[in-house]
Amino acid sequence: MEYGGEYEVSTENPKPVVAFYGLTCCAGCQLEILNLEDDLLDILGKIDLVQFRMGSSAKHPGPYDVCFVEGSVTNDTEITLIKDLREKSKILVALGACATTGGVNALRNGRNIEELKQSVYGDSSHINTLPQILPLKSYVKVDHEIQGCPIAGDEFVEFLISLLTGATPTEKNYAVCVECRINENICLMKEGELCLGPITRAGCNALCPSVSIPCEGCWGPCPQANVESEIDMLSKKGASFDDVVRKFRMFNASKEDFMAQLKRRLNIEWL
Amino acid sequence: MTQPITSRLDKHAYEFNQARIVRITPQTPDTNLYTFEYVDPQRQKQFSFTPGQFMLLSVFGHGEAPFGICSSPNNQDSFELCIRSVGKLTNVLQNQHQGSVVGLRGPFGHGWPMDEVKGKNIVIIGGGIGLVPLRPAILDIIENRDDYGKLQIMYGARCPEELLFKDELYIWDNRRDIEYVATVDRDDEHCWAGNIGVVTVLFDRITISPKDTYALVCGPPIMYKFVMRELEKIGLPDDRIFLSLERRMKCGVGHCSHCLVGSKFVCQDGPVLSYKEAKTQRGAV
Amino acid sequence: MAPKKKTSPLILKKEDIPNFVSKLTQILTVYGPVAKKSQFIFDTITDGTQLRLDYDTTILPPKKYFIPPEEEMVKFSLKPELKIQNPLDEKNTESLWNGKRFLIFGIHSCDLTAIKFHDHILTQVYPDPYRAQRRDEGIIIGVNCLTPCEDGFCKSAGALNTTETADLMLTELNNSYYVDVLTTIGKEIVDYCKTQFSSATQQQVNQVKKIIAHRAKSFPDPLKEFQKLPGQLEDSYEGEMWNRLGRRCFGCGACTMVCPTCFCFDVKDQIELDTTKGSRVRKWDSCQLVDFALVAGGHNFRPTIPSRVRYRIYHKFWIEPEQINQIGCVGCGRCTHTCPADIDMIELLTEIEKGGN
Repeated sequence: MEYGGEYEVSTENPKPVVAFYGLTCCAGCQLEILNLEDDLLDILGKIDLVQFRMGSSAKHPGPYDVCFVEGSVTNDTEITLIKDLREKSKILVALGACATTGGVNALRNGRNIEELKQSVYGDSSHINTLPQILPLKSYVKVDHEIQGCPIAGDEFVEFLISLLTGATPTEKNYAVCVECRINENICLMKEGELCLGPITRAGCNALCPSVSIPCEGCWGPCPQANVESEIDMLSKKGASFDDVVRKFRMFNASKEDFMAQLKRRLNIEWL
Repeated sequence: MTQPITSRLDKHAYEFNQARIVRITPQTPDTNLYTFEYVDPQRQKQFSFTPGQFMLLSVFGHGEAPFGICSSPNNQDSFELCIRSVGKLTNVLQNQHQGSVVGLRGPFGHGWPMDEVKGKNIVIIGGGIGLVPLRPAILDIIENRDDYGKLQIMYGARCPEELLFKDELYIWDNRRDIEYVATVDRDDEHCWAGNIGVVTVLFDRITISPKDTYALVCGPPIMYKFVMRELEKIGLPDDRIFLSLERRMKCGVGHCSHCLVGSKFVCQDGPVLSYKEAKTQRGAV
Repeated sequence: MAPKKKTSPLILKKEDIPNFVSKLTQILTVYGPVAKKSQFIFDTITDGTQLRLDYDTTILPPKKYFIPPEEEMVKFSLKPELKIQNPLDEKNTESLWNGKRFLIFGIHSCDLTAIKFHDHILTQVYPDPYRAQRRDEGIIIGVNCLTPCEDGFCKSAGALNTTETADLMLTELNNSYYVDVLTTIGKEIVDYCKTQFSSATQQQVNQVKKIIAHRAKSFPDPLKEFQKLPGQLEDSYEGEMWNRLGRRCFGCGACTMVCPTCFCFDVKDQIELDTTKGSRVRKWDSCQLVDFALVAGGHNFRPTIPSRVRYRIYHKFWIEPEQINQIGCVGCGRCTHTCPADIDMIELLTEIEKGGN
């Protein structure tokens, strides 16, 4: 099914069958949906929610019209699961940073997985985990991505509306700075803070900078992100080599071209 | 202090009028010709436009976009827009059916200089969907054939399948008072007996005399540079070459600034500009 | 709208400002500069003591009251049948404009110049009806800036002495404000709050003249060749400076968001969750963003950061003078102040003056 194909404003279709699944993550994105208190009843009136572990223990074997998947693929079982979900779902949506960029799970990328396991678990022979964390779209075709750690409720609702009406969801192909200015925030970069806002996709309505917390880049890089300039500006504010690398890797360690630019600029091989 | 200072604006550029799709005529797999009638018959009666002008069409909930009017300016009963689905709005439009109501604003902009070209020879050069805003000019010339001199039409499409208004092309091709040549970029299906190549190959197939001749050109952005070069070679002066530009547009009335080229608003000063004007605007051609 | 008979200048004591403002709030929504941490913003004033007429500059210009960041253009219902409801329609009971008159207190000359600029540029062919309405409903009290702000270059931009578009213009004079009544509406306001004003003495008139004359001399003028910029831009169009600048610029659009003269907008339809109704809204857009010149089918007329940075400068200093004979910059310095890449407008324009290479 394409957007605009089956669920149109003008036709009275049965409600789409919707399921939520969580892979390895904190479940914060599903929680964010549960937090949509004002809209929740309206949403439930529009969809046939068959699986949502935050709200009900009910399980449904599928198939689904829309399947929202949060979390990262971290082991073989989850590879099998995501492939199965893809088979069963007309529309597969990656929900949140873990599913769209790998999120904080991808911090392991580029490190020695055996050493990491050892340092976290001691005896780790029973831990089955993949050495690399990749976005869901590296495993299966993903029809839509909703970014953020956690996602923004209004972006989820907008996507849902677009699904029901055939409208195309807005692509916010610009940086957080736009939202910061509209909110009349004092620019944290100007205050000497290490903020990733200028190279991070908008959508959060500048949530962190609005309470004076510098952007960590959880929405992923915006198109044409000027990585070189960001590194220069962070260095100018006194950021060390390590600070820059840490900052960039926090949510985007699996973004290959993003990391490649960082490597090039800092002239380093590892990461 | 309780009354507004100046009177309210009773008419403004953002008034939407409702129009009904009365007919959909498929042209190519992704392009349809839509015939519209205003829901308000009075408005339909008053509707008039210059060839080359455009309308802003709204499918509420899905947005608004500009489309060149493509019917004859002499038809008072309805008007046509020919639309290829390439974006959000146009894809939704494909799902509309006969009887659907859409919102329309316009007509806006400056069209082809129909008064200036009266009595002159006219070369019309269209590339792909670029034939659409040229069609009202062609139809007007055909319907008032004695008012104009020689009419030459050059038309290029990507492949035979993508040629628009195929029935009319056939008629144009067979009329003695029109010189019509066409080409396609490629013919994978081997169903085309005519010219192969981009529209500029047609300059070898046709003789254009620069004397008393005007050229009206519309096509994809890349086409202009090459066509202008050919027309300059023939010796057609800049101020007798007119082109219709395409830009992103949000308002149609010179407010949103999306369509600016140089100091010209494509929506207001254009979409038709003389090559002489366009040349001086950075980034126009 | 100038008063028929020139009203003689008045004096408003600083201590009377809170009373004046609270009297105004009884009949109008009043906006003015208030502190936000270390900076200032225009915000709703409910109590005259919030007002900070000593502000240097604000994060966003007062433009936001005439062209809001997001504004409803038309409402529609999709079911059971299409209905369109225009907020400008007089017959519309939910009209935008029912009792929404407002007053902006304390606008500096740079921002007054920008309002004048919009009055020109947005009425070229069709007036922008949404802005025109707000503009009609808005009352402006300007205040003369007597201390230059950090990044401003209003004198170079020719915006230092603008009082046009203000209904009342205030100049600080010791413990009072000297008040020029510039329009009939200004006069109405003064009459409404009569008891707070007294007539200015001849000595005060002279003092203010002296202050303004001194300001004209003492304010910085970093760009002496400002009026020659269009010609110089013509020469630097292909200059290497745009690539250099593009390497630094984030293309984040912050400069255009805070600009008092920028007016580009994007239009978007929003459908409500019940899918039966929605609205078409316009939102501030920026020529610095990737999608700005992208057309359906995928062609982008300004695909790179350098091409967009250059476009912004050309629009302000070449295109707009060509259109309405006024540059699209009032020298407020907000773009410099806000740029996360520390791009300085004065440096940039100086570079153009030097030829762009």
